[in-house]
Amino acid sequence: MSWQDNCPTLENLSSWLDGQQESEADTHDLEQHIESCEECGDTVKDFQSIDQAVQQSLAIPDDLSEQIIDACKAADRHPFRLHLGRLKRSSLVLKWAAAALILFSAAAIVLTDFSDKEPGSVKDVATGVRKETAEKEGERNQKTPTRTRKPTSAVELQQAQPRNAFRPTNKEPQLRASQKIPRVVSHAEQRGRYTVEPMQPAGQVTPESRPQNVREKNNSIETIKHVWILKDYGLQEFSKNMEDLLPEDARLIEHTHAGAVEQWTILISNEHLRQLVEKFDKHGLSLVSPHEQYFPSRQASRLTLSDDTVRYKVSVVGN
Amino acid sequence: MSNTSRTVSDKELIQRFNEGDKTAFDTLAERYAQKAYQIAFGVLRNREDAQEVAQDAFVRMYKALPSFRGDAEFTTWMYRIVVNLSRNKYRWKKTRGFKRETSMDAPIEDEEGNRLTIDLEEPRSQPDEETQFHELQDRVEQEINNLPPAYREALILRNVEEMNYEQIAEILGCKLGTIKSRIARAREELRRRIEL
Repeated sequence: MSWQDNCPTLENLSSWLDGQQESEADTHDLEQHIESCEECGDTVKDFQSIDQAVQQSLAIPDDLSEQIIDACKAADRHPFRLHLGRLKRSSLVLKWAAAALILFSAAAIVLTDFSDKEPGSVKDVATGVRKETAEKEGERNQKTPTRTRKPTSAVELQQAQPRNAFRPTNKEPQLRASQKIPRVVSHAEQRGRYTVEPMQPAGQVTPESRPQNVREKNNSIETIKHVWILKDYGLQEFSKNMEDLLPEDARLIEHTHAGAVEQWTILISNEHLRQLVEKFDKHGLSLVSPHEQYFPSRQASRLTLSDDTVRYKVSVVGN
Repeated sequence: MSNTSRTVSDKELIQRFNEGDKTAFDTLAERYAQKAYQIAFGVLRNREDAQEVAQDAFVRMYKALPSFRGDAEFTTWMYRIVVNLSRNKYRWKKTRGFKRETSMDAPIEDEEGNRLTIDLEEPRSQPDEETQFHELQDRVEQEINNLPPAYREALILRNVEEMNYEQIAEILGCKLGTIKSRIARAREELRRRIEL
């Protein structure tokens, strides 16, 4: 194409500047035109100046590579670690997380309401809302005594647990999503704040006694869930001393943390676990299972079992 | 950057990394961290965000490298990750509203965005080329923020490593003609805005 008569488009001038013309002939023709046409020559010069200015504006921080390499190594060491610095920098993230949690909890309460209103459920019998239906259900249960109905609500499931349910079992019962969400969420919201109330006065808790007490103070346990996400209770300071808190024969297998939750995998005997629980209580901290944190009977979930040593995965939530 | 690290190809480094030599990734990071940062900065125009995106991109690559099939060049893959993360960050910041960082010497604007200027006496001597260039650089830095993101991305990729249009098209997932047009329009738009 000859540019002798007409000026090339800006696209052509721009691509000529970048050496991206489709053919050498085009390039040659453009070159000739730019040399002879003052206006096109000025346009190309302006484009060149702009490019130089753009390149100059992209200055690089000094220690960028080192920072990136360090971040990659940290990610390798702690694959599930969140970038807390970022979260702290942006309080909006936490606000959104809180809003999402509240919405999710509200939706779950509605769902729980529906699931609890199954004929014959504990709630219905207690409140007498559907007494008649419950009676019919009772009759039906009497007719088929050999068949036990699976618990359908969190309350029923708790009651179905043996009193020494703290002791780990091989198979943890699975809760439905609606069961996992505690009704007390709204209660906590009504109070206008999210707090964790200690499950027991400090120094008075033993693992065996905890499930019983937990049932009595069910609400307190359930509110822990909120703190799990919403608040950072200075656990960092505590976690530094975690190894000091461990009994001599306990072994720290793994330490991860996400948000406000610190999680340790500890190889520890049953006896020493009890002592550890007491120490945690003295620090105003509570042990909760990472998987079933709302469910009172499992403060620690067992991973492996040998004769006298159990490996527990333990999460700690501050109050 | 050492010469030895340059002689080893990206492919070889990836292979070494996948065989367990984690230090091979350090070489890749040293080689491309600056480019990644420049692209992120070009799109986001914020140093802290750009640093965060570059870091995030490399952490992701570090984790995903074992599954990198090598269908595309490592650099294309890397730049695509950086551009996507930058876009995400840009959108996220746009939805929550940019916190505009105004420099002390930025022009003052009225409510409608018109610059408020004070007519000063013409300086006796013409500013030297260096000063002129710095002024141009400042104005380009300001105006590049106002370019449409698609134009900005293309122009930055072109300027960071003088990539050819085909590479840019591959990274941005566009046709060659689109890239050609975007780069030209970006330049022209900047020229118009800074009144060259």
